[in-house]
Formats: sequence, structure tokens, C-alpha cells
Amino acid sequence: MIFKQVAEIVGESNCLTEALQSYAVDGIVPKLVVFPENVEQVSALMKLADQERLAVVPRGSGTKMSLGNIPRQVDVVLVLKKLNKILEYEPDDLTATVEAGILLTDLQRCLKEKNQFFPLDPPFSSEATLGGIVATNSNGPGRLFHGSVRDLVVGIRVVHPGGVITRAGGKVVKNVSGYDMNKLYTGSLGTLGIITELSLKLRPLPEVSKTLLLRFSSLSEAARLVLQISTSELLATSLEILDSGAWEIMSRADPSINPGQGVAAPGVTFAARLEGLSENVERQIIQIREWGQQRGTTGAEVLVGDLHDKFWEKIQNHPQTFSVDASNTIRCKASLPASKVEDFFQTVKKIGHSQNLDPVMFSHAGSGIVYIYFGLEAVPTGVDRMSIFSYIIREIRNLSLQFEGSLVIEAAPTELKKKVDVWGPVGDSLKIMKLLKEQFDPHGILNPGRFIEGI
Amino acid sequence: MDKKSLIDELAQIVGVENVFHEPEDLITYQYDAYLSRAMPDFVVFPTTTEQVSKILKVASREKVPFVARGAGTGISGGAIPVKGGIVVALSRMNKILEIDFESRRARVQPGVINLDLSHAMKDKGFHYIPDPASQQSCTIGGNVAENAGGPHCLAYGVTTNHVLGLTVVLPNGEIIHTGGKALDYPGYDLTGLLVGSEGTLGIVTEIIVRIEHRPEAVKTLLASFSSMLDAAKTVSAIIASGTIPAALEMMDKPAIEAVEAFAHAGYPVEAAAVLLIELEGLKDGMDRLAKKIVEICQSHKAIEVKVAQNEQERMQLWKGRKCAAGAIGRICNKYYLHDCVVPRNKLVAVLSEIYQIAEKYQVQVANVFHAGDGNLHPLVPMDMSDRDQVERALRAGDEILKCCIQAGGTLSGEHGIGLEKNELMPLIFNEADLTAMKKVKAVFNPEDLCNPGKIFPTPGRCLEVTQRPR
Amino acid sequence: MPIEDLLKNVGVDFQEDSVHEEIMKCVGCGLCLPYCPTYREVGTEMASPRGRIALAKEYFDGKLKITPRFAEHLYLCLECLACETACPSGVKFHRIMEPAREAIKKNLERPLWDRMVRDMVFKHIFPYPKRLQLLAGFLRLYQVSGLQWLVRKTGLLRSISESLEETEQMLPPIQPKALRDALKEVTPPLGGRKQYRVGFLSGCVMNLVFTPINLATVRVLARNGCEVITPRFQKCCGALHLHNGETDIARQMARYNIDIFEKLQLDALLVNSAGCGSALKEYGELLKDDSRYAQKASAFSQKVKDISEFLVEIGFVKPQGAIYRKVAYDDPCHLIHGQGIKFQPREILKSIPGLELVELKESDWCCGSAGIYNITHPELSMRLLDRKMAHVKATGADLLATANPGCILQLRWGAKRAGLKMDVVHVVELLDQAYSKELE
Repeated sequence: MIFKQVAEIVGESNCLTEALQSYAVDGIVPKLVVFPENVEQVSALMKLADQERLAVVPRGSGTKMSLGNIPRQVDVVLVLKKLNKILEYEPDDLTATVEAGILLTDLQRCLKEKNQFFPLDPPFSSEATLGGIVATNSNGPGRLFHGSVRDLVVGIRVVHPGGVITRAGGKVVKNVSGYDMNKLYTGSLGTLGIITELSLKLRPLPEVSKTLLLRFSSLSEAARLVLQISTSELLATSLEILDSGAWEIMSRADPSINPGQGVAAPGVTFAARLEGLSENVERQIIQIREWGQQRGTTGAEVLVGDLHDKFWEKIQNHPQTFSVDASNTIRCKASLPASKVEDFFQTVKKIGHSQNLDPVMFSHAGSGIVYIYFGLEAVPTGVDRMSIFSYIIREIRNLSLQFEGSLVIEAAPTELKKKVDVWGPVGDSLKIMKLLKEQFDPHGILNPGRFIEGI
Repeated sequence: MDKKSLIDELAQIVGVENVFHEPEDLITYQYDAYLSRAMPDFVVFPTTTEQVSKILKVASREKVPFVARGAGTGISGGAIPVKGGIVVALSRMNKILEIDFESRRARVQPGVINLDLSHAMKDKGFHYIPDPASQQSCTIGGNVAENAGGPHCLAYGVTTNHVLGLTVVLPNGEIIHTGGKALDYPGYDLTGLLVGSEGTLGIVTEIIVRIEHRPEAVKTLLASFSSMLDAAKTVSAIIASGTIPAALEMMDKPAIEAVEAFAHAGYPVEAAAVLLIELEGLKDGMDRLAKKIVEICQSHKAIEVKVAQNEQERMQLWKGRKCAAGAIGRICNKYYLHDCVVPRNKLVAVLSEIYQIAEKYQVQVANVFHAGDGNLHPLVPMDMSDRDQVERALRAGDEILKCCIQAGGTLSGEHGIGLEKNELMPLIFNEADLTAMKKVKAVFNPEDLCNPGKIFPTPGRCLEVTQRPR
Repeated sequence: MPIEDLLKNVGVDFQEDSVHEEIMKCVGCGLCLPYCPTYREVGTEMASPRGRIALAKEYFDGKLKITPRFAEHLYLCLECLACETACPSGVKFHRIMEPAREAIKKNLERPLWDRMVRDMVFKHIFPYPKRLQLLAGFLRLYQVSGLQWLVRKTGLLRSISESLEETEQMLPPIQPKALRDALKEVTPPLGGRKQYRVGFLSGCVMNLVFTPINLATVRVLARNGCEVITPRFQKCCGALHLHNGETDIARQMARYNIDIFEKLQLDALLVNSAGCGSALKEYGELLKDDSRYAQKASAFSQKVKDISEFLVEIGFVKPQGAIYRKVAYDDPCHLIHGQGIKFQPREILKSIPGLELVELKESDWCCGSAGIYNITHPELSMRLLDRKMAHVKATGADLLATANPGCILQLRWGAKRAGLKMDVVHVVELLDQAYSKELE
């Protein structure tokens, strides 16, 4: 019955009713997967879903389906990959308007022809769609210099439950007309509406881009160096710290990123991405190297060209780089004031060690973002793994809160999600958030239960 | 509740010396920097979040409208109490609460003056980036309400890109905290939603902002052109060349003439337009970059390109830009300062249309604006002794706005909608778009006591609407 | 806002008189606010230049009657004119404030006591040089006789009013008559030939309290080739009257002074008191509706020069004598804002060998003296003074220079309050000292 109505909207060839296991969210298999081709179809589907109280899970390439709590219900997975056009590209205005299902990589390829790019480098660089990136507020190491999703989206088109289509923002880079609804939808995990179109701010490609790697025997010196740079006049695009585990995985997977073996384990690796005019890239490399030497660096490498690209692709795609077996990995993201990264790193390590675990950690340290990877396999079978991990996560979360930050579990087995809230506490603004959800999705059909506090 | 008891109750919260209600007091709270005015019934000066909360609790209980006010430098009427009630003046909440250099964050009260914050960090080489033209006067709280811009927002973003956390008193008096010193807190980005909400969703009592190290080197250039078109083309060429200057400002002939008459900034009077271009960053490569910009200007028929050789010359080049509005104010007794944005590749077309509109209405127009991000500020002089001229000036302004919107632009780039442009909102947003915004308002401010009469068109008022093609 | 509503709202109500002309120049941008010391201290719009203009406009538009509260708001103004320097639209704030205060004066019954004090000072003393001298004589007697000591010890004045006590303590020692008489009516140029013939306005307070500064000024001028004429029977410039709504008395005194100096055929008329200079430069404006004096007054005003302005203009002789001290310079409001003179006093200080000039934060802020503001608003005046002294202390200077008698008195008192052991002097005194050291 529902299938028939849906098929009438999108055509039978755009509906899947069988073999839907791969579209399951936390093990909950949908009844139907639809592939609308345009915004009108999305609108019709949303009208139907609202009438029929169908739980809708919007989806792009599905790279971040692990994010969120276990859904209460999954009826229809709405895949937006067929909305994949570039609607407008104005190189002279450095703006573009695209459909939400376009792959980031496809957009970048097109922009590159004009020597421009969309300055966002989130994980899953070859599969992620723009809509998914915005809905999950997915960012990368370049946010230190270029900003994050919220800074780069200037306009948005959204289909709400009931099928109403709205626009917010515009196509120009500066706009204070009305509420900044772009911000509301960014990172809302599709719980307020389905993003179908985005207007974006672009940037010219830098003249030169290079990497400086430095090795330190202690985390402290690497972390201090990051702060020294970020509070100076230098203008690094990214400032990263990798613990020895992270570096080992990276260099084992591709030994070429350590060409002179200048950065050999053990120890902590510092990485800076430096971009812009050749003169200032060279100057920054010299300056940071010197500061590194003053801090007792034990080795250095400069990566250029392909090696540079490869290195940052691995960092950008850290979930793929560091989770050898995705279904058996817990990935946590802590966001902290930048000055707390060092303390946090050390304390998390201690918490892990107390349970005989050694998490892989790396950090967009200039931005105060720390990723922690736990392999499930590290805990021997026969032990209650979930109890151990839920304990660890509680501890790390308390630490993050104590440092005025937050901890989100970006990926974890469903069993663990049953024990811990992946988002953590929201604070005294929760009531407002719940009311917003009620206003925009009164019947709670969008991604029910996946977002914060049951939203 | 009668007025007397309300005064007593407010006085109990903030102290009797912080409540004003005599006509001689209220007269000075009728206005901000917009043309319109309206009389409040009370002005109160809280000093803490708790006091603001108590004030709003009283107001919402008694159904008295209220509006927050910083320095009153807004130009869209955001601080004008159109429905009367209480003006919650935040000028005494002006403390810098914390500066965390390592995390590059500062926590301030809303009444802190924008430039004071930068001055407080000068010794450490830091600053707060957004620099609205009124930065010497305007407060961070006001900047947050209006999502203020400024010349240097081209490269670094506007207020919203620099605000990470807020303490907000909701219209019912509840206190909430959004965001914080770190990034990416779970939940909806209420901070982003509140910035630019023009004080209609609550009163912000604490703000966490980004602070940054000052650039090592600054290079300022002034290029003059014999045609406005050449200047506008140069803007597009610079943007397209792969360089984003820190600031890219433009002034047209009437503006140059006004500036030269009063400020003697050394702009060539024979020029039809000047571009003020500022490059910032590391000193290495700066000269080459400047040379490249000079070449772009020259290849677009610049008649002269000056490069400031020292800080004094740099200030001299900026002087004309900074005093432009004031200088035009000296020619006429009032002017209407507009604010609209167009895509940067439409600058040329829109500017020539603006001149045609001015001619049609027989008014003057001077343009002084942030060319780099397409943010136009046409200034239309008004002669207050001539009602007919004033009307023509206002009608011309309206048509200029509509022309920008037709070109794919928007109603306001940095001044806000307020009560200036609320009736024009249907030009860019349809009923559904506005309904989505109203849902947000319904959540925060269900009784419409918090800064009523702003942003949204008055219900029932008919406006001939020709929406731009979407 | 729809055009129809806006037209109603903005009120196209332009009135053709000089006050309205000035008022209409204000576009209400609010850029003056942070430069206004009272706004900064009090934080209310009523205490800001824009608020005062709004209030004045309501009155001049006939929409508001003058009430004590209205007067209170307008009298909180220091008239430091910092707002004029800040105003991008060039509003001459004092041209709104002075008529407004004049209107207050005419329309408002002040409390009797307040009126008596003001009347005594403005109507019966300042206009009459003889009476002022007589008063000075009494004051000097009071100071040297031991009575002052007695009064201070017993706290007699505090029992009447704390502010009166504070005011009494600020009283400078009045100079003995003999010293005052040392100021000759004609002083020839020193050494070489006469290059300029200049008049010197010795000032009322200046001449009584700061006789040494006047003598220093004349010596410095003579050293720079000037023949200096100091007419004995000149009157007070009228600045205080102007600021306090006594415009008619101010006009009388202006006419008198114009008559005195006009016939002297001077190249320039020099003033070493910033407040007086500012008022003298405004005579043209003050008497512009006086058919007999308008032209004379404007010619007079054009000749008026502040001492530092004049010295820099003529390329003063660079002193050779050294003063080994660290000096901070505080801009008198009526020099920097009233006359736009900022770099000249600094240039003079910098020319003195050995003297180190250090930057003083908020040097362009009012010290709280502001004519008789420290008498009428002692509390706010002291807040401003303490703020000033905190900045002075931070400079580490052991010498504070300025260029106005009111400021010198106030700052000396400030140094005492802050426990700072520093001299407060006039810029010209330092130049004079440096010249005199050449002889050593």
C-alpha cells in the first residue's frame, strides 16, 4: 500500500523493497528505500510520510550512518544521491549552488578546473555527499584556517515533514536577512528537514601546499608547539598531533609518507599543513622547524606533491585509516578548548591503560578536536566488553565536560549504544531544542531517536 | 499592574538608581541610529545575568514588551522600542570576563565596546576581528544581535563566524547556555541561530568569541580609475585571481568628492572610483602579492595605484574610507544609508542601474562599500526641509534594493532587517520560508514581548510583491 | 518601514535657525558616545552627547519644557568637546549646548543657595578685575595667616559640606601682589630685533594664581623675538559664563576685550590658557548677530593663538639647556578638542634636551576640572580625576605637563590624592626653564 504510493511519486525503479540489510541503521532494517530524483519528489514523499507517520532516515552515501543513537523506528530510507547536480557555479563570485546528493569529490573536481575549491576536508572524501556533510557537521583538519561547515554554507533549501519546501540564507556571501536558519540545519542530522540544496562559499586554490612533520619524544612538546604556532602570527592550515599508534598505522599502510625515515616510531608526531604563497610557506617551515628544534625534536620530514596529498588524504579519511575493522571499532570525538588538548590526551591514555587498553589517538590540535579509537578486539573475549567500554566512555566524557568541551561517539557497535548515549549531555538549552524539533517535525518522523536526548 | 508598582518592582531588582522613567530620560531612548523613533516606558540598567532574568520574568508576567540595547548605533532600528515597554540597557554590563590566549577565546559581557576588546589584547598582539564601521562605539552584544560585518570580514568572516558561545536570558526569564569555548557541541547550533536574530529571541548576557593574533604584515593600496566600470571589473578580477584580500573597499565619485572636500585624504578628485585594497598576512611574499594586485589594477586601466609605505600613509589611505559617511553627512543634513548585497560578478551591472535609478528620481547617490563581498552601501542624501525630495530619496532607495534583489542579491548584508526592511522580507522569502523562521520565534519568544515589530512583516499589511526568480 | 510611515515618523520639521541648523547636522550615529567621559562613567544615553542633543532638540522644537531634570542632564556635561573631535558629521556641540544652558538659566528657578553661589561668582566677581583682585587679597591673607591651617585642622568646612571642603583644599596659593605686578605692560624682545608685536591675554585666574606661568610665557615670547603687550585693564574672557548659560555677560566682556586689543595693532594675540583661547577664538561666533561687533569680533578671533600653536608656527628657538626628567603630557580639552591643538605642545616638550616624553593613556580625556565642574559635580569630577591619575601613575613620569590653569589645579590635587610626588606644570614653564638653563 505504502509502496504503491511511493512508487507513484518516484517511479518503481527508484524504490527498493528487498535486500535492504545494507541500509539498516543500527541493525534496524527499513521497509523501503527510495531514490527521489528531484525536490518535488522529496516534498511529495515527505507529505506522505508525515500523513502515514513513517519514520524517514535521510541518507547520502551512507558513510555516517553509524552516527547517532539507536533509532526508535526506521521505515523509509530516503537516499538523495540522485539529486547530484551543480545548479550554479559562479567562479567570479566564488560561490556555487549544488544539490545535496552531489559527492564532494565531484564538486571539487569541477571547481579545480577554475583553480578553486570548496575549503572543507571531511572524512570519506571520495564518497561523502554535501548534504550528508552538512547534516552531520562533518569537518576536517583544514578547519583551523578555513572554518567549518557553519562558516561556509550561505544558503540552504530544506524539505520539511508535510512536504513544505523552504529556503534560507541566499546565494551571496554576506547576508543578515532574517534568522540564520543555515546554522539550525547544519549538524541537525536531518531531524528538522531534508536538505536538498546548498549554496556554498568557495576559495581559490593555494599557490603552494606543503607538510612539515616533526617527531617528539613527548606529547607535551608537540602540544606546546601547536599552541605556540596557533597563538603566533603564523598561518597554518592544519596543526595535527598523532600518537605513536596512529603514526604506526599510517606509515605501515604507506611507508612512502616517511621517505627519509625522519619520523620513526616511537614518539609523537606533529604535522603542519602550510599553504599559500611559496615565500610564506618556506618561511613557516623554517620557523616551525626552528621552534621544534628548540623543543627537542628528534626528526623531521617535509612532504611535497603526491606525498603531501597522500598524507592529508589519510588524515582526512581517518575513520578509514584507523579503523581496520569498522564494525569492531569505537570512534570518539572530543571537542575541547585548544589549550586542554595536552592534558586530555595524557589523561585519556591513563584511563585506557587502567583497563589495559591503548587507544589510537590523533588530534586536529589547533582546533581542539581529538579523535580516540578503540578496537573491540583489544579486550579479550569472555570479558564483558561493553561494560568496560561504557565505563571508559563515561570517564572520558566527564573529563571532556570538566574541560568545558564535549565527547561524541561517532561510531560504535549497537550493543554499546544500548548502554551509553552517544551524544552526551546538552545542558540547559535542551528544552529549546526539543521545542524546535516539535515545531519542525511535530510527528517525529525524521530520524526518530537518533539525535540528542531522544530527538 | 500600574506603572508605579512596576517601577518599584524593577527598582527592587536593579536598584532605584538604575531605573529611569521620566520623560526627560525616556526621550533619549526613543532612537538608535535609524530614522524612526518610539518612546519606551522604562529604561533599566542591569549588571548581571540574574538581574536580566528577573526583569524579563516581571515583563513576561505583566505582558510588557521589552528590547535590549547596547550603544544604539544600529541602523535598522533594532533597538527602537516600537511597542513601548522596557528598554533593557546593557551599557553597564561591560566587563571582559576572561581572555584565554592559548585557546584563542575571550568571554565578555554584551556591553563591552568592540574596539575596547581589541585594545585590551593589544599588548599580546591579539585582536577581535569583526570591525564594523562603528567599532569605536558599538558593543559586542549589539554585534551579536545584528551579526555585524565590517571591512575585514571579507577574509575572516562576519560576527557569527567569531562567536562560539552565549549565555541567553529567554523572554520568559529562563537562563540558557549555548556553545562554549570549544567547537561542535552536540545538539542544534543555537549559538548560530541566535547570532543575527536582532534581539527577538532573548537577551544575550555573555558571549564567548574567537580572538586571533594580529597579522604580521599589512599592505594597503589605493587604486583610482576613470570609470566605475573599470573599478568594478578590477574587483571581480582580483577575486578571480586567487587572492582574497583582507579588505577590498570601493568608493565612487560623489563619495570621493565629499571625502576630499572635508577630510583631504589625498584621493584623486578626478577619479570616478577608487579601490582600497588591504592585504594581510606574513611579510614573506607580501611584496610580490602587492605587485600582482598592482598589475591587475593596471591591466584594468587604473589611472594611479598608491601603495602605503608606512603606517602613517596607511592610516591616511583609510582616512577617506572611514570618514566617508560623515563627510557626506556634511553635504546634506540627513542621508539614507542603504545596505544590500549582490553577487560579486553582478557589481558592474547593479552599479550602473543604481545610477539610473538616482537619475530617474533626481536624487544624488554616493557609493561607499565592501566591494570584496558584494556588500553595497548606497548613500542617498536627504534634504529635510524638502518633503518632496525626501520622498523621492526614499523611493529611490526602495528601488535600489529591489534592483539588488533582482540581481540575485539580498536585503541586508550587515545592518539587519529590524523595522527598516521588515515589510520587504517577502521580496526574498516566501510565506513558507518566513513560516519556518516564525516557528523559531514561536519557540523562543511565543508571546512576542521580546523586541516586537522587528524582522517579520506586519500581518495583514498588503505589499505588492514581485519575488525574484528562485 | 513603508515610505508613508517613515515620512510621518522622521518629521520633516526643519527649522531655519542656527541651533536647529547645528542640531540637524547630527545624524544620530552614536560614534561620539565612547569619547564622552560622562557617558563612559555613567553609561546612560542622557549622559551622552547624542542624548543631550536629543533633549535640546525636544526643547527647541517646543515639545519639552525645561525642568530640573532636564537641567540636571544638560549640566552633567563637562563641555570638554571630545565629542566634537569624534563627530564624523562635524556637529559643533557647544553651539547647541550653550543656547540650551542659556535657556535653562532663563527658565529655571535654581535652588536658592546654588543660585547665590553662581551669581556671586559670575555676576559680581569675575566681570570686575578689581573685585577679583580684592578677593585674591583676602584669599592670600587667609592662606598665609594661619587661618587656613585652623580651618583645615578643625574640619570646619566638612561640617558644612564635603564638597566645599574638597574645593577649599584645591585652592592654590594666591601669588603676592608684588609678583603679580612684575608682569609689565610692555616687554621688549630679548636681544635681537623685534620680529613680532604680540598681545598677551594674562587671564583672570592665570594672573592671580599662576603669575609665574605668565611671567614665563612673556619671557619665552621675548626670547623668540616678540614685543609683548599685556594690557592692564583686560577682562575675563567669558569662557566660564558661556559654559554656564550666562551668554549676555560673556558678550559684554567680549566687546570690552575686543575694544582693548583692537587698537594695539598686533600680529597675534596670545593665550596660555586653553579654555580662554578656545573662548576667544569663538568671539566671532558669539557676536555674529551684533551688527556693530560682528566683523571686529571675527577679525579678533582670527588673531588669537595658543602659545604653543604660535611658537611652533614661528619656528621657536630650540632650547639648549637640559631638563633631565620624564614628562607626561595631558591634553587640555579646550586645546585638543576646542582648538585642535595636539602635536604643538608635544613638539615643544620634545625639543627640550634631556626631557623624556612618555605616552599617557587617555591623554585626550577630561581630567574632571571642566571650568567649575569640580565644584558643581564633585563626585563625578573626582571619579574622572582618579581615572586620569591612575593612567598618569602608569607612565612612571615624575613630571606632568599641561596647558590650562583649571587643569593644573585639578591635576595637582589629583597627584596629592593619588599620593604621587610629581610636579604639575605648564608646557611653557618647561621651555622657559630650559632657556634659562642655557645661561648656567
